[in-house]
Amino acid sequence: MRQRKRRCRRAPEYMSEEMIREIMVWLPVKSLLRFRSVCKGWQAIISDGPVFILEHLHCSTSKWEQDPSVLISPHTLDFFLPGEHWPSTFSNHIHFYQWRPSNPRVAKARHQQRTARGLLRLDLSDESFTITALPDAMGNSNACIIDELRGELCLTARCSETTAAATVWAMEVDDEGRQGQWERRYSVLD
Amino acid sequence: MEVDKGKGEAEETRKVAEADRDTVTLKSSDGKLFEVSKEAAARLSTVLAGMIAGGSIDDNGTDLKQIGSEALENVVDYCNKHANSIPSAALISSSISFNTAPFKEPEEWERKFVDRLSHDALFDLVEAANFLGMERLLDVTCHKISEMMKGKSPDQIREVFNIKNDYTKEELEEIRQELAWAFYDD
Repeated sequence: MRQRKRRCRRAPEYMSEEMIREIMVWLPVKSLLRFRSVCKGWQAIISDGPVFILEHLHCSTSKWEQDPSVLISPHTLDFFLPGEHWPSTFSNHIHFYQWRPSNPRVAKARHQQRTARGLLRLDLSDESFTITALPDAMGNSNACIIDELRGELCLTARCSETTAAATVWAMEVDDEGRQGQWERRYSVLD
Repeated sequence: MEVDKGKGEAEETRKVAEADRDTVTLKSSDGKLFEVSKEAAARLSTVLAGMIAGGSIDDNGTDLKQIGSEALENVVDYCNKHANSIPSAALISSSISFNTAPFKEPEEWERKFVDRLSHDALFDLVEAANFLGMERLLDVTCHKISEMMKGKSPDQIREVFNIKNDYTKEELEEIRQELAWAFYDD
């Protein structure tokens, strides 16, 4: 018991909050969320709002020299304006997914259970926002999950709210972030 | 015994440093002396660069009271190894512009360099890198620690970092339920 204590003599007395933050910016979102339960001090750092999120985003977009070309988020709405073809309102709950073309991986965060109207894309080269329509056949009332499937952007959506049946759509995204068309890859039956 | 050895090295060091001033001598908190290439020190550490430029380098050993000999040895080792490797363009630019330069993946030797360190040595080195303003070494060591943390449970993290759990059982359960999906493997 005593020996064990000696072995772990470092931190947190030695490790400043500043250093903990430096380390945390390298962690994947999932680890970070889990480590909120380590202690209240860590919870405070991780939940420190925009500052930590920006640091983390900067780090995760810059690390490994693989800058993502686009950030992708389900385009969700707070409300509809009547008569709009494409909605112009945005939910302020925007969860971005990072897309790195040469090593595709989408952070597996489950987005809010709001209805996505499309995918909101932030092009990091010119910081322009565009919207990618969801597959026509998907219907417009179902929540979807964004992921990566064999190097393609992939979207999983339930066929309706009352069944567990789902469809998996995929779209090619090239190194410049240019997108192809949605193609149905799999149908999962109830 | 070890201190004597350190002093012996220092004598050598001083002679070399006096002969041509390509090196600087650094003194750890426990009094050991280490020699490091002046060029590498200035390039890799903003603090040492400032001291060299400001003339506050002591030929008899510049005091670094916050850094123990083990950590300082690793710092010097890193500087010397770095001086022998050819820095890539990204590495140079990363010290110039924080906002635009991407972090370059650790090179093979950097990976090996941190892989061989114990937890304690790694934590000490992180602090030393921070104190000396060595951005690249800080990135490499922080990244290594984060790699080590990934996939660990909160319990394991508390053990490694010697952190006391200050949550009540109820508070913990609340977090766990709110973020159930985050508690599976990474």
